[in-house]
Amino acid sequence: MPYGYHGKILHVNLDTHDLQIEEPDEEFYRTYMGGSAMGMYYVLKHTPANADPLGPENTLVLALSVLTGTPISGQSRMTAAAKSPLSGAIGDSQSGGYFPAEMKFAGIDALVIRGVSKTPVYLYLNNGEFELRPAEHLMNKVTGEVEAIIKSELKDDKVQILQTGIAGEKLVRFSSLMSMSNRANGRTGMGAVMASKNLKAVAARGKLRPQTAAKKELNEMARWGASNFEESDVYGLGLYGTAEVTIYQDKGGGLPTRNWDSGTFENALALDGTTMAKTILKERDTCYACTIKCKRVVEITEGNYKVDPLYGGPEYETLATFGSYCGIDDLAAVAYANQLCNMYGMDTISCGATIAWAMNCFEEGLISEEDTGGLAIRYGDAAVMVRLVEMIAKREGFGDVLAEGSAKAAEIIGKGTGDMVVAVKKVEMPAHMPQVKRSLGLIYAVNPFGADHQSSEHDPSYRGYPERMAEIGLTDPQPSKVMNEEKVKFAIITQYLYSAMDSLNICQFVFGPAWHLYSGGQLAETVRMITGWDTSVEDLLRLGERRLNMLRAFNFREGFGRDEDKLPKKLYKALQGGKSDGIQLQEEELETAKNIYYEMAGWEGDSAKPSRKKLDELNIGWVADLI
Amino acid sequence: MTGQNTITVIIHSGLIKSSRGKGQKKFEMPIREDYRIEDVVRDLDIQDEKPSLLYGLNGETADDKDLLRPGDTVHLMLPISGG
Repeated sequence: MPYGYHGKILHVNLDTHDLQIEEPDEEFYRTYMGGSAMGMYYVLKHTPANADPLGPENTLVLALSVLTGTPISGQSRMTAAAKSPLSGAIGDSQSGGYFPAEMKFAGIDALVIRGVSKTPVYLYLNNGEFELRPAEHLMNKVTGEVEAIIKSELKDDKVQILQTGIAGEKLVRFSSLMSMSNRANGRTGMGAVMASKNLKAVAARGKLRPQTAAKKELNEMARWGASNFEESDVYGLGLYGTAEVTIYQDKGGGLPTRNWDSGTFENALALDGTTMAKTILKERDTCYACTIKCKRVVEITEGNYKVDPLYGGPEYETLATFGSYCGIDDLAAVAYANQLCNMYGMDTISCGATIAWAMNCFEEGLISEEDTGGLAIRYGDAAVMVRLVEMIAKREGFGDVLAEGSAKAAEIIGKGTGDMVVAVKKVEMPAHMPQVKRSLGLIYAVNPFGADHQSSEHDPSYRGYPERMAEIGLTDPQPSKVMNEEKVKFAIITQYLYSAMDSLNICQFVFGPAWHLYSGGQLAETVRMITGWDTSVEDLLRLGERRLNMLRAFNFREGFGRDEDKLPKKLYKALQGGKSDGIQLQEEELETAKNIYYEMAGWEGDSAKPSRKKLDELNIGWVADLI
Repeated sequence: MTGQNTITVIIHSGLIKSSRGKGQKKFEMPIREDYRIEDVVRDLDIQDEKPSLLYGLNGETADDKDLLRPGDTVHLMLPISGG
């Protein structure tokens, strides 16, 4: 009897509306475990080289893991993986909430979606039974409305819904998948991929809970987490959400401001979690079975920017991208922009960063009102920022250009605007600055799906949590602002662990190698308790390495190699003001770090290609035949 | 030390070594009349961290001006770095 999984993968052929169940063996689950690694298995198998990311050949995988739906904090998460319409490289995005657990209870471990439906449809996963239903009536409606219609027609208030929004329908390249109207698989444009297939939504409901191998031990682990939460370092995340970090970032010179020209914002306090708690915070929300409650729910009933609690509240990344990136200190406007992104289904990081790029270009005189259709796009103008979010979602006017993302928009406009782009592999950078957390620069550059702040541990943790770091073999703590061989080792090993966490679909606020509620060792124990498989931290690192090599292999096949592992020009310019005044990255430092990294990774040649030897060693020799 | 005029203080990583909690994560402190969270910060000698400090009081968000009563639980925290 399988523990932790159903042994069922649902293949959805939208060309024919054929639904087929595949039943992989235990070895498959032990090798990939779920999430991103499982997603990559199907993307590599089914998406041919050079496929159009918005065409029928692109394969979209929504994958859960062997932990999803079990009664412990941090497990209700899902990966969306496909070729990215934003980057042309691999796309990979994670999200939490209640949808992932409910999809598991509906009776499947993953969805593999191919082809294009002739008419709009949605997929209903209902307790082991699956059907495609018409979705014409759901088109061109905001996420909250679509949720309400589906719940009404299924006569089930508790059905969980994942959907692509109006922005997805318009093929905005950074459109997201939304669940609960406030949880997003935000990054890399997975919403546009789903919309391009004429699949509007997936609705899930069920009671099919997989068995757990060591139920009593798992319950004890869950109780340990609940009782230790109050004294853990994630307690503040529960009280203040991710926005707790805004002022901290600012004081350290690491709050990206005015499109990354500075690491300090003069009114950062206005965007901080403490301010949110005193002003617009309505309540704290959580994901299925999670004790932390890090999600914000805000409400604004008066003024220009009214915000409905249905659409949640802004995370730190959102506060930074629509706030300090754009020189805006109006919390209500930022919360409203967040609401628009959740209503239309757009990634708040790419959306805010793309608007900040446009503001930078306008301020520098690289674009004018002739380019923007008469809009003066200046730093600090909250009304224009909000207007642009609407225009992007609907591809109206200049919004049609910005809907391509900053890198493609710069290619369209030219005139030196490319120098203002702050993106890696065309994916806009999140709000953690490598100038003050040096190893992030390396990870941003080499990460297969573009700059990502959740793909490795951040530098301060090496000194801050030496005992937990030692669990994963890191025993020589280094300062945050240095980059040396030991730092590369720190970057790659923590990247392997975070990569495993994305394959196990667990929350990186709950499990991890440093400040997290549970350690990497406890994660391995949890996998054993749920699946019955002897699992060590080393096994998890190997899983993470396997997934990373699959991502890299996909990119290699698409023509992405060492040359695409680069940082934007802006990061080599000195920052202005605050604690990071004058700090800049050095290209030579990055290139040296990359050489060490590739050698440690076993990636060879000028293109840093995963070697056959490495892929064989990771039990994925079949991937070598694809590249 | 436990008593009618004490509060429980929980201080989180990054503050433990620098405070006068003698390396302890959780301990009790006596309070005086009109004693506020800012007084805890001062008495633990962690004022230097104040610009980034976060406060919790009995499971809710709090302000440094919040008045404390016997039996209260106060959390003093620095934000985590990678969220």
